[in-house]
Order: sequence, then C-alpha cells, then structure tokens
Amino acid sequence: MDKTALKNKLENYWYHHKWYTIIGVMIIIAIIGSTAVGGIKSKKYGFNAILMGIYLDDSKKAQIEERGKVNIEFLPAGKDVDNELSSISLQKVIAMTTMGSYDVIILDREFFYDYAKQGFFLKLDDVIAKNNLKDNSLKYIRTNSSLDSKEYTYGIELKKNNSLENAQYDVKDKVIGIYAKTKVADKAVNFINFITANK
Amino acid sequence: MKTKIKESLGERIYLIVTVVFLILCVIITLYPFIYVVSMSISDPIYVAQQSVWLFPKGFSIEAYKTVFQNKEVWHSYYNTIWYTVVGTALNIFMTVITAYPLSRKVFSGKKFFNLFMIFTMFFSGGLIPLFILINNLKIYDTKWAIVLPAALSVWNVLITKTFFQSIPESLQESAKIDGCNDLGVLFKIILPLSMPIIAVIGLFSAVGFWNSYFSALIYLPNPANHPLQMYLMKVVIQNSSELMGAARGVNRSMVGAQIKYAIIIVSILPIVCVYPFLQKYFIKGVMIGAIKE
Repeated sequence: MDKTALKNKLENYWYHHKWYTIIGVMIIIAIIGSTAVGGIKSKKYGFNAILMGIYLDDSKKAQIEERGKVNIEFLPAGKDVDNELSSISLQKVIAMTTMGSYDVIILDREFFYDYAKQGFFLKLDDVIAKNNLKDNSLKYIRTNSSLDSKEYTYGIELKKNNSLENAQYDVKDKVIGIYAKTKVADKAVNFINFITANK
Repeated sequence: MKTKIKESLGERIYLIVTVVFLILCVIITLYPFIYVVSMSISDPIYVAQQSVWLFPKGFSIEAYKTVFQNKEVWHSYYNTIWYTVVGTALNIFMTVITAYPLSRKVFSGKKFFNLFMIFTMFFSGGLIPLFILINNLKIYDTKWAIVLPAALSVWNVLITKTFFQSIPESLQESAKIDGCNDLGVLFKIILPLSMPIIAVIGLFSAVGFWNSYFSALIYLPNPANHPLQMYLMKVVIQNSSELMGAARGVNRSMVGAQIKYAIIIVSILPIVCVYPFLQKYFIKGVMIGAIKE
C-alpha cells in the first residue's frame, strides 16, 4: 500500500470516526489518570492492623497510625453494633484473611474465639518467650483451634489505652491477635508493645 | 343521562377493605418520614423532652445549620454526587452498548453472550473473589472500586435489549440505506427513541449509587472517599453532637438527636426531588415486555 492510499484511508477513518475516537481516548485517559494506584500493599506503613468495634474517630486514627507505624483499618463490628453492619465487616475480615492483607487484629472476645478455632491466629507462646513479652499486667488468652489438640496462647486482652480511648474506641472486652501467616511478626510484636504500653 | 351499575355488597366490602388497607399502608410508609422531618425542625427543648411524635413543636433550624457548617458532610456529599453521576453515566453507556448488539438479529453468537450474562444473574463468585479482584486491579481504596463493579447490570441490559427490539427494524434499515453505520443507527436512531428506558435505568442506577454503603464499607477504608451514607451510618452509630463538633451556642445534647434527623433529610432530599421528574418515564419503562405483539 503506498503512502497516499494509507493517508486517504486514515483521512477517511478520521472523517467518519473522529468523535468516537476522541471520546474513546478521553474515557481511557480519564480511567487511567484518575485511578490512583490503590491496593492494600501500597499503604504508607508496611504493617496493617484491623480494629473492630463500635467507633473510631477518623481524625485521631492518623495520630495512632503515625505513633504506632501502622495502617489502621476500622470495621464496625461487635455485639453492640447493628447485625447487618457486623455481618458485612466480618465478611470483609474473611476476605482480607484470604488475601493475607492484615497482620494484627483487635476484636471482640466473642469473635476472637470463633476465629481462633478456625486457625486465624499465630500461636503466641513462642513469640512471647522470644521477645520478652511476658508481662504480669497482661492477660493472655488461651484456647485451642481445630488444628490443635491442646490449648495455646492466641491472644492478649486489650487493657486501658489512652490513645485508643481518645479516639473514642471502646477497649472493653477486646482481644489482640496476630494473623497466623503474617510476614512481619517482629512488627506485630512492636505494635503489641506499643498498644499495651498505654502511651 | 348517567347510568350507574349497582355494586353488590361483596364488591362494596371489598372496596372498603382495600381502601382501609391502602390507607394503613400510606400511614406506615409516611409516618417515619413525617416524624424525621418534624424532629429535625422542632424546638430542641421539645425534642429533648421527647414530646414530638408527629407534627413539629416549635421551630428551629439549628440542626440544619450545624450539619451545613460541617466540612465532612460537604465532602461526603461531593463524593456521593461523584459516585452517582459518574456511576450512572458509565452504567447507562455500558448498558446501551451491550444491549444494542444483543438486540440485533444479525449478531452471531448472540445466544452465547445472552446465556453468559444471564448466568451471572443467578450465580456469582461472592464477596471474597470480588474483594481479591478489586485489590488485584489496584482500585481498592479508590473511587473506582465503587463505580466499576457496578458499571454493568445484567438486569438493565435485558430490559434495554427488549426495548431496543421493540423499535421497528424498518427504521434501522432506512437509516442504513441513507448511509448510517451501526454506531450511527444506535446514536442517531435508537437512542433518541429510547429515552424512557434510559430514564428508567438511569433512575435505578442513580438511586442504587446514592443509597449504597455496602461497597464503601468493604472497599473504601479511607474516610476521604466515603459517601454520604457512610457518614450517616457513623452519625447514627456514634453520638452525633460529638461527630459534628460543637454546635455553637446551643446545648449539645439537645441538638445531638436532631442532627441525626437533619442529616437523614439532607441525604435523601436530592433523590426524592429528582424522582417526580422521572416518574412519567419510569411508568413507561416498567411496562416494557408487559405485552408481546
């Protein structure tokens, strides 16, 4: 095909399909341009925590994130939260567990036992011994999962915490657990230290 | 001379029971709405005394002032409008360009694509695969996480396809003889004749986006992207007056309850206002497929 024929063909295409092409290109640019790269992995800190409860003040959340070097995601769930909302949040936790997109979770004791039975959490006995986490003021929660024949420590009871209470997070009857397949167990330990130190 | 057919006793009883039943339905439907409006504009003292049960007592727009002074409300409003406008536009566009080829007799593979889409109406992967998909597409925690998964509704495609099929084939053939290509036929012939169905799917989609909070709760952890319904949810869960900041010069606890009601009104008012203008199309649209000729 010579140059003139190609030019004619292009001119013909442009004459008939000018607007469709322009609009199409604009839509593609709009979609690509405005899709800021999201995804759980792209967050600020390489460590993610889920807080489940009635409420967490968004403006105070950023302060806790900065101090604890953690990305916090709050989900409304618990015995005092509307059943439908709780159910949505619990579904999201299951989805995030499948993705392995959190490292630590703070949740109602009741949910903790349910999840622990399904093997969601890391056994803390070795972690506590290795990292000198043993603290008499902390209450360790022992239970057994469907994979275990005997009880192990899977959670630590959350005690009074000023940062969380300032953010209007109800710490009553909450338990901290580390996700069983976390790749940053050391950061999880730091976070537990931070959250239990009541700074 | 007017003649009146005498109604039997049974017919009269039936009519009375129907009217009473419908009046009850109207009361049950309207009461919560009237109550919320009354609570939001009553004097805070009466609200605190819980003496407002139907019509407003006293008058105060303090709750509305507090709501409109709050930046988060405006931001959530902006987000909701964005989701509704972009989502609805995308939904209409996708529905139309999908329904048109499926409505053409000459489109080969039509049966396969129909079956392929209808299958998704009855069987879906569920939340976990969708969550993984959204995350892998890197649209988690972006506005597109709300808009893209809802860009195409198979139900809308089916009713739009049925509408397109009801437009005489000869019109399209004439346009082709005059030199229109397929896109020309769609945009110059079919679409101008399809305003009722466009209005119906637009309304379905817009109401869906406006009221939606499920997707936001799942895919938008960042409050900057939250729609108004998510904010409303937070207000309902949490003490409203703390959320809204200081209601200057007014007793917080008194205004707190009213703020919830004011936000509810503010959040539903735009969609309630739009509905009457689309109602005439809506009735035409839902009649599609009622009669097969």
